[in-house]
Amino acid sequence: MTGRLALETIACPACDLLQRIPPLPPGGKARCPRCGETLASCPSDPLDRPLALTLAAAIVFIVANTASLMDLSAVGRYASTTIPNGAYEMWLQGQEITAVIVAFCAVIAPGAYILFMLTVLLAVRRPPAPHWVGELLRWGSSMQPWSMGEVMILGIMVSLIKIAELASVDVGIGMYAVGGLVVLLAAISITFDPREIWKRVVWADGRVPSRAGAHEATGAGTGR
Amino acid sequence: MTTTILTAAEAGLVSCGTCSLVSRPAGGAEPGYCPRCGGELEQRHHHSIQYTWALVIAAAICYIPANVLPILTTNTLGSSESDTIMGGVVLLYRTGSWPLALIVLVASVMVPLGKLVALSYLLISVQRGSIKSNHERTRLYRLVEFIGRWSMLDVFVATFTVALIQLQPLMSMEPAPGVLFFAAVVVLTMIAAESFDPRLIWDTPNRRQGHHG
Amino acid sequence: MADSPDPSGIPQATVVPQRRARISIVWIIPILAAVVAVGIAVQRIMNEGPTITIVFKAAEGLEAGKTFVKYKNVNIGQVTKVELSRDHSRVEVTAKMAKSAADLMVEDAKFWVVEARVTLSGVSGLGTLLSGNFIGFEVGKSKKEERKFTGLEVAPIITGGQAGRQFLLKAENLGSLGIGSPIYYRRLQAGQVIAYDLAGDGKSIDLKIFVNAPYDKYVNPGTRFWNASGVDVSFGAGGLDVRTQSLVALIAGGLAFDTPAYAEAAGPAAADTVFTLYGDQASALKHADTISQRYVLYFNETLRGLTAGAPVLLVGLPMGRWSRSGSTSIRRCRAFEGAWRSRPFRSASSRA
Repeated sequence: MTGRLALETIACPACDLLQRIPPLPPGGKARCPRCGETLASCPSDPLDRPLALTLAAAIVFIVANTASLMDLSAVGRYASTTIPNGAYEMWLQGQEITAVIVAFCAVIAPGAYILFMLTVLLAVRRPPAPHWVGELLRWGSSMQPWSMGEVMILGIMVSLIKIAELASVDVGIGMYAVGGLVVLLAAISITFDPREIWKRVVWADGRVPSRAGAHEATGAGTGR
Repeated sequence: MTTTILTAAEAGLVSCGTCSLVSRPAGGAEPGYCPRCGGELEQRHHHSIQYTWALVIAAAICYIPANVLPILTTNTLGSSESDTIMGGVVLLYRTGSWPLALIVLVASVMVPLGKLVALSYLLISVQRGSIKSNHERTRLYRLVEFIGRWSMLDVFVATFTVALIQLQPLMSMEPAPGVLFFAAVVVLTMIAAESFDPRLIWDTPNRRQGHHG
Repeated sequence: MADSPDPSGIPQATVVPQRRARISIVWIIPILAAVVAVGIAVQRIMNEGPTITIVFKAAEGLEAGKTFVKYKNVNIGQVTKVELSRDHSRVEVTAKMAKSAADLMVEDAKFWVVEARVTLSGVSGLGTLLSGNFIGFEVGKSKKEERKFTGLEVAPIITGGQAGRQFLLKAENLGSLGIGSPIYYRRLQAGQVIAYDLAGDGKSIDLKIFVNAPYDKYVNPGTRFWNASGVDVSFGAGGLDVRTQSLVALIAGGLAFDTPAYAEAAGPAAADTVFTLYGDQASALKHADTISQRYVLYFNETLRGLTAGAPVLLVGLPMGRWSRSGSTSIRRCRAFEGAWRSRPFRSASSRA
């Protein structure tokens, strides 16, 4: 198939159906007609809004990991913990692998996601962005399913309720920060459109994308 | 205007997993690399069925010690008590917080088991060449992907309870061997869901032969 | 049908081009996040108190991140690090103090470890069995700031601000006294021994004592102190005499004081006045002999039962004390020689 394709052609990632995505109205979404998978969305302001939210998420991430999650006191003893400290305590208790898993899901994955997204969103403000920006986007997207902030919040709340039976517990700033972080991360994924990034990144074979966005069905490269 | 229902594979095209660009595969055994993002192209996830089975079986093996071994040990003034996941659920129920007991029961016992069963069913249905209930199977897959992370709940509960309750000699909590197996079950099933290619559900049997490793 | 107006007569509206680079309202979110984060950080830094180090000989039950420094039962700081000193002979404890306690960190502030202790005067610090040991603190009077301290090995007996007065006693020997030994006034505990040391010349013991208010006003220059440890049993011509101050004094040793009736009335003694510690109550309250005579007596019979200090009685009243016995031989007969001191009444048959 050659010739100029004014509309974007993709294959559904869930059922592989070849189809074309029409231009979407702002806020609109495109769905696969066969299996219903969401294919693309058209958020308004697809580059500025996610950038602002990602910046906020970066700041909130730092607060969430440095401030105390909760303070407890019982019979004159006091204790408090932060998220990295929780993983560290698991390590100290001999559960090294579990500690690494917790650290990854709670700190490393969301942190890497924020960092990569920030870099990508900043780099495409002056198109065309260098090729490695696309790589970063792929890494960032693969980190997303492993960033388990909301599961962690529920877990902390379950343990908070259990502990509150035997000690008096004060919720710390870290807890609110994690809540805010989860909200921000969700907002980023809603306002972000990866197609906008790919339109502004230099291709692997050196092609610089044109402003119009039209392209031919191209041949795959045989190597880098 | 008639529309053709054609998968990319049937049309001789390959879709990039990273940037969604549809391109013609390079001649030769391997489809090559995406011209836009440079990522390796593959028609279907590499050896999807094999890898997914291996991970599902490994997770199933870990599931038994995860539930039989205790995950948390409580030391109160010298005496120790260890609790398994089910033991923790029963304890929560007995002390009156039955909503929490329900949450932990669903997240830690039912969801991992459900994922193992669902993935096995999907794998078997694909291997048998079933062409029925494609929509339901796809929905099942989406559910497995979405709900997977929530089984990590009990690992986080254990982590933060241990981090806070270190008030020797009055009371202290320690993680017990079961928690590692439980975390392993969650991680393995998540990777298994990622390595399963849902497009296999829609491939017709003769097409499928050529693609899964 | 209405007449449509002539299009060329209607003025044209002016075009206002869309302002480029409109800053979207969404940027408020990161700005807000930054402001809140900076606010939290600034608040943390402003509430930072000073960090101090205390050197102890051993760190009994002190844990980094857990042990507190308490003053008047209020937490004023927490231990952050417990490490061996560079020469491995002592333990350096680093503690972060609360901002409110920053001006308490002066040169002569005192720190010590509070743990459960069973002492002769009672059991203390039981609460630490549950809550863990903590570091006790006592204010110092200096105004000079200090960040490095040497911890005391023993809790100071007298906490600052306690009303009372300190005095010095000179004793022949320590007997069964020790730090914390109680001091009694008319059988009420009025104070305790806080320190003792060998005198410079090695011939006596210097004791530092503290008498609590309001008993300190009963100590005046004529007051006598005596060692009231144990049981005072004397069996003599006056009969059996058993004295003890209290059970504690029985076991732990103790002192007592009183002002003898014959002492001149005077105001309370100044702090650090030196007193003599007498061996027992009798010798303490004994009137200083204003007129005394030494007599030597010769006896032909045995002096068994007569020991130094035995009373000399005149019509039943004690007039003197037997001081010493010895023997001497005189040409014709063996006789015992004794000497005795007397009170103002002179005996007729005496040879001075």
